[in-house]
Order: sequence, then C-alpha cells, then structure tokens
Amino acid sequence: MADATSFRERTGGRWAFSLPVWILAATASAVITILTSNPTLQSEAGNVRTLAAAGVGTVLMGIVFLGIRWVRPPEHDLSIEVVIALSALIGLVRGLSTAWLLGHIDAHQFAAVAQQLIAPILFGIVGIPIFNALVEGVQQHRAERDALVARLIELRERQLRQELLSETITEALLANVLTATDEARLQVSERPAVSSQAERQRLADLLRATATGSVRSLSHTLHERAVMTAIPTTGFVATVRNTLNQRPLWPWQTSLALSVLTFASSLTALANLSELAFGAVVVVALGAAIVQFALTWTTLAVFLSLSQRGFLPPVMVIIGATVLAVALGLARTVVMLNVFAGAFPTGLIVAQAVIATLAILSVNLALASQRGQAAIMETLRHSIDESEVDEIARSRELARTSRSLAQYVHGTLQSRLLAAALAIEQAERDETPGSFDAAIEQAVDALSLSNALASPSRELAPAVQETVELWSGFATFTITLDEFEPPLAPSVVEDVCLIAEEGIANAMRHGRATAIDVVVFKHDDAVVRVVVTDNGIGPQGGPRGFGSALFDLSGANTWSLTRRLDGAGSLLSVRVARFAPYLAPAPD
Amino acid sequence: MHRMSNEAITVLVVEDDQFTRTTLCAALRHHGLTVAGEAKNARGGLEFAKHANPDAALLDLDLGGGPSGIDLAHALRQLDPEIGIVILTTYEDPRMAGHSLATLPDNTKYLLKRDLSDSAALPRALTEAVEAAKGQVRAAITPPRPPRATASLTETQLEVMRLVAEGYSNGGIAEKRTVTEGAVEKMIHRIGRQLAIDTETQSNQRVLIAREYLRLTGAPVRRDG
Repeated sequence: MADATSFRERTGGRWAFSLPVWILAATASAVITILTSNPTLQSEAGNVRTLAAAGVGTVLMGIVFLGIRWVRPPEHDLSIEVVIALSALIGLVRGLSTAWLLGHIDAHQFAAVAQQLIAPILFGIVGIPIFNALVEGVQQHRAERDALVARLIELRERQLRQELLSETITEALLANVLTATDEARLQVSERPAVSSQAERQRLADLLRATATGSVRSLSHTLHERAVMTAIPTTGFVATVRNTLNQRPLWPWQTSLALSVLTFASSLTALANLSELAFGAVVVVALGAAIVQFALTWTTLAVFLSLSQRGFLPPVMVIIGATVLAVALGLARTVVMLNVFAGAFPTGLIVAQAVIATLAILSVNLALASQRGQAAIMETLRHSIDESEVDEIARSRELARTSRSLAQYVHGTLQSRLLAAALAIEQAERDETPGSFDAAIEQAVDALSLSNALASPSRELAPAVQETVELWSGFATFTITLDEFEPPLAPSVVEDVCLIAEEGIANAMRHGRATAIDVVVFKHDDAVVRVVVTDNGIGPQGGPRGFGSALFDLSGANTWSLTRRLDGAGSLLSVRVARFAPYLAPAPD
Repeated sequence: MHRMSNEAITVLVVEDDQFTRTTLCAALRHHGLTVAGEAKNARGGLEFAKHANPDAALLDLDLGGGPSGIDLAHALRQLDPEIGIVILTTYEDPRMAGHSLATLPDNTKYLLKRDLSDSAALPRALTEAVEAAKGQVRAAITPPRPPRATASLTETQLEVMRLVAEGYSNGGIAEKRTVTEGAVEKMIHRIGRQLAIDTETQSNQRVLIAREYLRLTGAPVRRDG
C-alpha cells in the first residue's frame, strides 16, 4: 500500500480532475437526473432510487478519476477526449444501474439510460474547461507561456546582445575600465623596472586589449526571470472580463450544447408522456433539437452583433441573450409538448429553464476564459516584445557585467599587476642574462588572458559540489540536489552557487556553524529553491544586515533568513527563477 | 629584543592567482625566507598548515570563491596560536571586502598591495607578524585601522557608497535597502559630510563619493590634473 505522501503527490497535485470534479459531477448529475427523469418516477420513492443510482455512478466516477491520477501523475495533462470518453462510460454504467434499480428496461427507460449517457458527455465538454479555468487559471497554460518566452528570446537574444554592447552606458563602463587600466599601466610604468618607452607602450596596449577583450568576451544570455517579471499575473476573473469586452457570446458552440440537451430531454419527455412510437419520438426530439439550435444561434448572433456595434455592454449582452434564448426554448418545449403529448409538466419546464440558463452561461464563460487567456498571451507578446524584456534583460546583464568587471579590476587585474611589477623588479636585480626579458614576457602572458570574464558553463551538481568543497575543512557539509530536466541553464547554476556561497559564508562567519546542509530543489516549474541550514547560533541581525548579494541575485521579496524550527541554527531560503529550459549558453 | 632571522621562517603562501602566487613565492625566496608551501585556496592552505606547521602565512584576502583570507586566518590561528599571519589585499578598509574590523584575528598584519613599494616589505611584514604572534613584540601589530576618511562611516554607509559607485540612483538604492528615497538622500549627504566633501563648493557629491569608494577598494582612480 502506498504511503499518504506518495498518494497525495500523485493525486493531489491537480485536483481539477479529481476531488472537485467528483463533487461537481455528483451534484450536477443528481440534479439533472431528478429533474429530467421519467416524470412518473418523480415520487419520493422514485427520487430516492434515482439518487441512489446517481450516487453509484458518482462514486464510480470519483474512483476512476483518482485511478487516472494514480496511473498518470499530475505533471501529465490528461486529454479532454479521455475524460469525455470515461465520463460517457461511467454515464452508461450509471444509466444501467438506474434501470437495474428500477427493475426493468423498456423503451422509456432506454431513453432515460440514453440521457444518463449524454449528461456526462456534456459535463465533459462544458464542465472540464470551466474547472480548468477556475481551479488552475493561467497556471495551466504555463507550457504555452514557456513557448511564448522561448519565441521571444529566440527573436531578441542576438539582437539584444549586440545592442547591449553598443549601449552608451556599456560604452561608459568600458571607458571606465580602460581608464582604470590606463591608470594601472601608469602605476606600473612608473616603476623603475619598466623603464623603456617601448615596454611601457607594450604594456599599455596589452592592458587595453585585455580589458576590451574581456568585455567583448562576456556571454550575454537573456534571463527568463526578466521575461517572467514582465508577464503580469492574470486570473480567471480578469481573463473572462478581458474577453467579454472583446467577444461575449459564442453562438455556434452554445447552440450545439443546447441542441444536445434538447434532444436528450425531449427524448425522455416524449417517450414517457406521448403516445408516439419510439421511432417517432426520436424524430420529433431530433426536430426539437434543430429548432432549438436555430433559435439559440439567431438570438446569440443578434446580441453579438449588437455588442460588436457598441449598442450594448458585454454584461447586458450575455444576460439579454441568455434570457431570450431560454424563453424561446421554453416556448418551443411548451408547443412541442402540447402538440405531441397534450401535457404541460411544470417540473420539466422549470428544469429546462434552469439547465438551459446554466448551459448558456457555462459555455460562454468557459470559452471566454480560454479565449481570454489566448488574448492576454497575445497582448503580452506585443508588450514584452516592445520594451519590457529589453529593458529588464539589459539592466540585469549590465549588473552582471558590472559585477564581473568589478571583480576583475579589483581582484585579478590588481593582483597580476602587482605580481608583474614584483617579477620585473626581481628580474632587474637578477644578474642572469635574459632574466629581465623573460620576466617581461611572463608578465605579458599573465596579463593577456582575454577569457578572464568568460561566463562559466557548468552543470548543477559539480558546480555546487565545487562551491561547497572550497569550504571543506572549515565545517562538515551535506548536499541534496533535485534532478532538473531539462538541466538548469549555466547562469542559473551560477546564481545558485553564489547563493549557496553567500549562505555558507554567513553561517560560518556570523553563525559559527560547524555543520551545514545545502539543498537545491524544484519549487515548481518556474522556480528553483536554494536552502542553506546550519547548526550555528542562528540569524544575527536579520536579513537586512545580511548583505546585498542576495538582493542582487533574487530580489528583496524572494528570500528569507530565519531560525530553524528546532531552534538550532539558521535557515536561509532563496527562490531563483529558472532559465527557460531551451536556452543554451549564448555564443561569444 | 630577540629578532628572528629570515632564514628561520617558513611561510605558507595562499593566493588564488597562480601568476601572483608564483611571483610572491619567488620574491620571498629571494629575500631568504623558506616557502614551505603554497595553495590556491583556503581549503588547500588549511590542509597544508595541518601537516607542515609553518611559522607564518601570507594570505590574499580575496581568494575568489569560498573562504576568504580572513576566514583562513581564523582557522590557522585556532590551529596554531603562534603562527604569524599577513593578509595581503587591495582593500584599504577590510569592511569593503565584507569583513568587519572586529572579525580580524589578533596580531594579524594587514598589508596593502599598494604599499608594497618594494618586495622587501613582504619579508618585513612576515617577520613582524611572527614576532607578534609569539609575543616577542608586544602590540607590534594592532588590528588594521580603517583609513581616517572612512573610520567614522558605518557599514551601512559603506554599503550605500558601494551602490553609489555602481551607479544606482537614490530610488534604486532605496529599493535595495527597503528604505525611502528621502532616507537615502540624507545618508548620502551625511556620507559626504563625513568624507569632508563640501556640497557648497564641490560640484558633484555623488561622483566624489564614488571616486572615494573606488580608491578604498584598490581600483586605480584617475588623478586630478
């Protein structure tokens, strides 16, 4: 037997297809069954039996949904065709169980069974999209958003890289570096060891080439977090509202749904109330469905036209169309029953009004949500493509460039200049022939590394391992890493390592830790979470005293430094946006 | 007072840049010191010190990723209270490298790279550090004092200086530090006053603050004139 966690992971990740659907199905099917079943059975005892039958089917439906989730975990989308087919199968079982509870199957009951079959299919067509939009909203369309981001990045990456290098601010940065290296050159050239004009010039040219080459060798890759930041959060209500303003009604889809309902209800009603042969009942029900289709389509088309011409606001359009379409449908039912059955069952009329209203609203809201999300994606495509991605990515890359340059100028370049000067000074004192030239050559080689700023291209596991191993001997470490498929992009790996580095340094320097755990796991499809815990004295001074490195890496609101729940030591948790999985390191 | 000879001192050199490390070792040997070992990072330095027990350690402050020279200095001091330690750095104020003054181990010599007028300064510093650690020279080495200009600045003010030097606007700094723009403006004004940058006569306070920051972090800054 699987444990509870495993069961929840496999079935609870996306409840849209399991528990909520189960509850909705139970409610909807019970109501539909009671209101539209054989009027002769609408006694108290009949209702109990009908409810019992609906319950059997509903339980089966729930079991099947959970079973599907068990076999096919939430990360795999279940196609709507499969859901509809299963719904139909369950409906058939439920219909047969109804007949079995009633004791026999005749022509009339066959109609009831057919209706039981149709109801779940309608539920699959109408209910599932609504639930998808309600429960999952825009989240369900993450794959679509990723594809959008991919396309945007593919289009803009190379162009932006070129723009970045030619930006005024970048040129200014480069000029600063050149100025700095010029000054450094002067400092070195003033040393007595480098006395000849030719050597000074050579060194100056070399330093200039080094700085310029380093800047140009930077690998500028667009960051998905930049794009993600540009995409506003949207919800179901906003999505529907957005689409209703553009197109509030879908005449074809709504008419089709109402026609199917009409056929089912007419079949049931005429089979039980009229004296017609069963074949004639089918023909009349089919005719009623066609009439219903025409009435609904005409009504919705007229209101849609009024909306598109600006005569009515979207809310008034959908309300007016629903009221009129339902009224016409009721009139059609009354006429049909009067002509072919000579009866006027109030319960049936009320049921039809309720079901038709729900059907019209459901179909149009479901389509509005889907259409709205597509429209929002299209809007985002334009808005992102115009400016936001460029700006955000540019600023981020600029920050990254600045950081690398600062590190290079303050660290590597300074150290090497000092070393070069010392080497030349030593060589000058050395009486060995050629030692001075050799020292100059050595200094030139050391200062000519043009790849000093190249972005690392590493995989997560060895990179984190390498980061942690730098501290081995100072504390004991454990590393726990999720497997990421596709692998994290190099820049994300770099960020993860910088965060781990920051967390370890904080734990060692301020927390006096002797044991540190580093965990990198998949928070969700778009976010990686880095957690560093230690056994030290706990957080000192709070996050604001922690330094700005994490702000630079992750933003002010995406990390926290707290005391561990067991009170021993601190817990640093940082969220990092994943690179788009399709991003490879950009070519130099 | 007994003074140790250079020959008696064995030195561990920890520097992440190979060229610099090699050159430093050559310079030390040239002045008669024994380079007992060299390492490119703190881990290697600590491992070596556990086995070789050197008299002194010459540590670069910024060792790239991982533990810094000061982290290693603490570990070495814990391992051997008498080891002489010299930290070599471009940072005039250790707070610029993310370390507070209080975190430096006792009797640690803090040597600026820009002060290395000649390579003889290195063996001199190492000898002093060893003597101080062995208690032969009382208070020969005091903890590094921040430059007079920045001594009165708090770590928060230094952080704001860094952000100014990196080109952040007041709004950007406010966002990063989760304070108001007004607070940032006041802080910058206060920094300028403490650095004796007179806003009445100096045309651009921010530029001068950025310039001072770059100078303190060891980056070469264009001289006036």
